[in-house]
Amino acid sequence: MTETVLEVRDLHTHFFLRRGVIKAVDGVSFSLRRGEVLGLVGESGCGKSLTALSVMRLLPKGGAQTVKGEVLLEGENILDRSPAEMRGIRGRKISMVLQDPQTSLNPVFTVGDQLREAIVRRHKAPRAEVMQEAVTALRRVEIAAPEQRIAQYPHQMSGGMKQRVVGAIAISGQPAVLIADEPTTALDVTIQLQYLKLLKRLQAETGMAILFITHDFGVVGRMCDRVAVMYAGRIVECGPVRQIFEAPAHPYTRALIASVPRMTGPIGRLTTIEGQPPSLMNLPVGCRFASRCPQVEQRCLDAYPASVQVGDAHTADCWKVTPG
Amino acid sequence: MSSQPPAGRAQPLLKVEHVRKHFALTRGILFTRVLGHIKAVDDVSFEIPAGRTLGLVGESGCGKTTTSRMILNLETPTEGRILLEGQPIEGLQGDALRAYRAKVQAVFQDPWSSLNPRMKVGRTIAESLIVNAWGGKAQIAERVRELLLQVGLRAEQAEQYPHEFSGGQRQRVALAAALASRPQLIVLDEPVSALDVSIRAQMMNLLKDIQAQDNVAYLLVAHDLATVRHMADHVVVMYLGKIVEQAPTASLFEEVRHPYTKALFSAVLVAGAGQMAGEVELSGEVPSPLDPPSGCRFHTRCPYVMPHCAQVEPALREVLPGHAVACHLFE
Repeated sequence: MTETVLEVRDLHTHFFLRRGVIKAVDGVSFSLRRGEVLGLVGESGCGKSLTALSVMRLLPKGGAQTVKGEVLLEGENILDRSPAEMRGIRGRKISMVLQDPQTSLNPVFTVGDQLREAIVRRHKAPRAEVMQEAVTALRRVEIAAPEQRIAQYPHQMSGGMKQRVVGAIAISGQPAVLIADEPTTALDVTIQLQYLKLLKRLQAETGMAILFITHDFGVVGRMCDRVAVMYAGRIVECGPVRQIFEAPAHPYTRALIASVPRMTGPIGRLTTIEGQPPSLMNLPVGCRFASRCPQVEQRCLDAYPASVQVGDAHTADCWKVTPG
Repeated sequence: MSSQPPAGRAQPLLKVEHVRKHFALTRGILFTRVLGHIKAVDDVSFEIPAGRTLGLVGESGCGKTTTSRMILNLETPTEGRILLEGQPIEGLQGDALRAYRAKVQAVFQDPWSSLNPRMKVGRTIAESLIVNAWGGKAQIAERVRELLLQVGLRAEQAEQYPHEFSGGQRQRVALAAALASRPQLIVLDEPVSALDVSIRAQMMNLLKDIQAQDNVAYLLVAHDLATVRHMADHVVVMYLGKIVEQAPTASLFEEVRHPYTKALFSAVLVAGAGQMAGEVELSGEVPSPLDPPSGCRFHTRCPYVMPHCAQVEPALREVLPGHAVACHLFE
């Protein structure tokens, strides 16, 4: 087994508001090995993005706080690092790409300026050398004519190209871990495919690990080695992609996969999940999916189920599954 | 061209005939100079029969939104015409325009932008009924109740504001508002792409149920082919303002012909299973519609490009009944 680069243990990130505590991330654990792509899937509000921001130590202002847990990056717990130390860790050991490249790039600086900033912060070098490095970085993300592109502003580029620039900045420090939060959601489908292939190629070249946050199972199938399914602040199932698709163990994962319209097979009524996720301010004591689960029993309401090993490196939090 | 429908075939509800829309790109305010024309839609024709769904597919900038805006009478075609029940829609004014708007409604991707945050949703739904003086207060209230139930909400939710609803529920409210005037056609512009996976399925089922009940036709503008497959009877694929392929849904999903459609199908990421056979990957991006490529507009990215593709524009030709392709490979 290869070395673990990122391990998140029992992470709790809550929002402390006047009207109550929102337990947005409530006991999340997972690990990421070198060179692996782990998908984190779930619907809006399940806590997948906040998990990423907790790992990056970039929590939104306004009451969010990581109250419990450990984030071990190459063996060191980064939750007790100072903000100054974190600035040295971000970009060099762990980087992040967000959904909308427009918000990650500064509209009043050229792409070259923004790349140079990332490079210079890592190591001081003569201007010409930094320029050369910036051009190389753009070429690595397959931007044509990088020498010209480097002098352009973000608005002169298409969405797909901007996302490549963001990617170039994120990986310029050769991080061990890249967190990609829905990086292709804003892109057209053919451009999405190009971007995913690029990420795969870069990953193979650098050996970095990717935590890929998405709501799209198609993207998971294309990108990931393993996948973790989140629901109401917790990972309810985690396992190798093939197993999750072919034999999902948790009723939520099953329902979620069944509700995706297919490209082949009969066209009938789509399966839906009735009801809504529980309020994160008032979570039930039992299983969080119990109120929507077709197989609910009394014990599901009484206590949260333990993680059950259902297969090789495949776990599910459900009372009804049998260990395999 | 005769406006009489061919014998033996019912007249389609909506007919789009050789429609073009060119936007002038100008510089200056007082002494305006025209720098060029963006050919957003260039000679597009299709039909929608009553009670059926037409899927309009393509990437950003292909002209699908402009086409739907012309059908909604929000833009006037530069050339060509659009007919609803055989009547041209151009130049409608006053009562005639209001009547048209009652017959053709829309639901957009982001329900936030179509709902007034300071208006109770009951009032939003009633708006088109009030404008069209559809009935008395009690009658309208009854219709709003009926609509809320039809879209799977509760009648008392009429008294709530948009922020009190979830995203999926807000989209149901937007649909109820569109249905209020009993339209014959609803333009659905990416109606489910902002919704979560499980909610998406609910909305798609609801749209199908409503179509079965009310015999309303849909123009579904979407980029997700699996959604289109489940919803549409007929599919039109556009690239840079042109139709490249159109076919009955079953025929299209059985065999894709145009290289661009093939690329779109290859880009669909299938959950679970490996990649689809015969993958076509595109290099580069969509060229600027200000200066579209000569000949076939797709030739700059086409993996099967031939020398004359750059010179001669391929015509839309039927390869099977109802299945037409604009590509030199099929001549």
